[in-house]
Amino acid sequence: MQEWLGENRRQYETFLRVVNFLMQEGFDPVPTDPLRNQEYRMDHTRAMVDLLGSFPELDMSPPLKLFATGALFHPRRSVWTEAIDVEIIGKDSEIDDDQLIAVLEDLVRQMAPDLIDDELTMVYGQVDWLKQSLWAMGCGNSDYPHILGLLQQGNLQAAEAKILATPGADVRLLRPKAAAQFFSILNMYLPTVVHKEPRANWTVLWDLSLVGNWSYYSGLVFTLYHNRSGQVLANGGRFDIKTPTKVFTGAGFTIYLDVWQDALAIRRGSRDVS
Amino acid sequence: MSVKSTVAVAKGRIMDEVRELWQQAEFTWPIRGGSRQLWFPATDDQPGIIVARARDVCTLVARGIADFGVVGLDVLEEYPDPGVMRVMDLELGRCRLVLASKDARWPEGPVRVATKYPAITRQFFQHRGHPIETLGLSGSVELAPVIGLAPYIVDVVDTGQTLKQHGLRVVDTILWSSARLVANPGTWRIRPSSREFYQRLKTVIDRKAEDIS
Repeated sequence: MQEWLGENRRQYETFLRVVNFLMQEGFDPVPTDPLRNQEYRMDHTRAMVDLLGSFPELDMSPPLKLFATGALFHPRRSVWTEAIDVEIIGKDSEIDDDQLIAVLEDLVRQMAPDLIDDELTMVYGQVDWLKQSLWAMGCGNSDYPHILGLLQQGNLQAAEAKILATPGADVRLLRPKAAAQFFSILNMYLPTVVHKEPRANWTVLWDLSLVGNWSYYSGLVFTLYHNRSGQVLANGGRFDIKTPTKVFTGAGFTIYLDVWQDALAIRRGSRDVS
Repeated sequence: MSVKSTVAVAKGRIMDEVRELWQQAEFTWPIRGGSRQLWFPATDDQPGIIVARARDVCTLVARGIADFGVVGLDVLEEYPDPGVMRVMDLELGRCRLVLASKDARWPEGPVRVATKYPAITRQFFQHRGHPIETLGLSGSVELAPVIGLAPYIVDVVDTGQTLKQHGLRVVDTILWSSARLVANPGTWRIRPSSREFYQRLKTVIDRKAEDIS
């Protein structure tokens, strides 16, 4: 029992460190309901935006810095995962991808300073580049939503088949690559895109098959993986969300505390890698 | 390069064809005839295998217990899981999901359909604007029309022999299915060894396709 209590204590200590860090950085907490539209909460972002949208006058300059805590439900596996969601919401031009990734990196340093260099891999995708590169390859206007939908469902095989149906199109951008190789291929289709990678110390790969879990992503998306377990420690990206009265532009990420605990337990040697 | 990956394989009729694919890719098939062992750990040069129920394959892959899974498209469509990536059609375990009845006629009016695939069945009839009631069964579905449980069934057909034996005929084909290779998105993206395993299987599949053409 002591081991179990100790594990719970460590999980809450991690949670408190994250919350304290976010408060110190000027992020305000937003409580979200665990039940939304008769479904268990699967995403904090949309719930936060719904709450913001209920205020008739909303000042988003400077951008709002918000966070929400609480478990998210995975209907396929009927499990809840403890999560903290961090958002910067405002006018498009004021939100910088670099700023968000810097917050994530600082957060990771707070949570597990010794994991950064050798244990983590960040994979970046870019939804808008996917759209533009497909168009540059000669795919039809109606192909993009179809291919995006397939990638959101994890159906890489069907997405590749759809792209390859266009003569001359290629699927190399849908495989993870180091930045130099990725951008040399991307620039064949989008010559004006400049390689600008948000600063971070972890290993970085680029892969346009990464499009995020939600349809509201509109630009850079990312997933931070734990190398030894292969599990997702954090994911997020830039989004546009329309509510009946407003459009919210922002960028955010979710960190999964259970996975962090597993990663830290593996580091301590108290848990095997599956 | 190392191929140290663990693969969850759906137990059942596709197992023999998976063994053949394994051997063609020059992997050693670890399961001996009659063995009831369900887990064969990976070594540095051989992938490991977990024998699992078809429905559980995606759960094992999504949770990172297995790096890859082999499971039929029919199961993936019935229980879609965005926590895994479908990366290759292995072109084995071919079968089709059909609507069948005694008279092979499209139903007139609301009708009851017995099936192991209620989600696919509902979607199929919804697209056609036809009201149905699904009756979920976990096996022996072809018995339903014979014993008066439901006049129609949706079930997997391989040779069609079982349907014939129960006096049933195909009304329509809903889905052509074959085994798919699914991958854990994390290991697929960040572990080069996983892509080596994929590439070995893909070489075999591509060679077969060339031989056919």
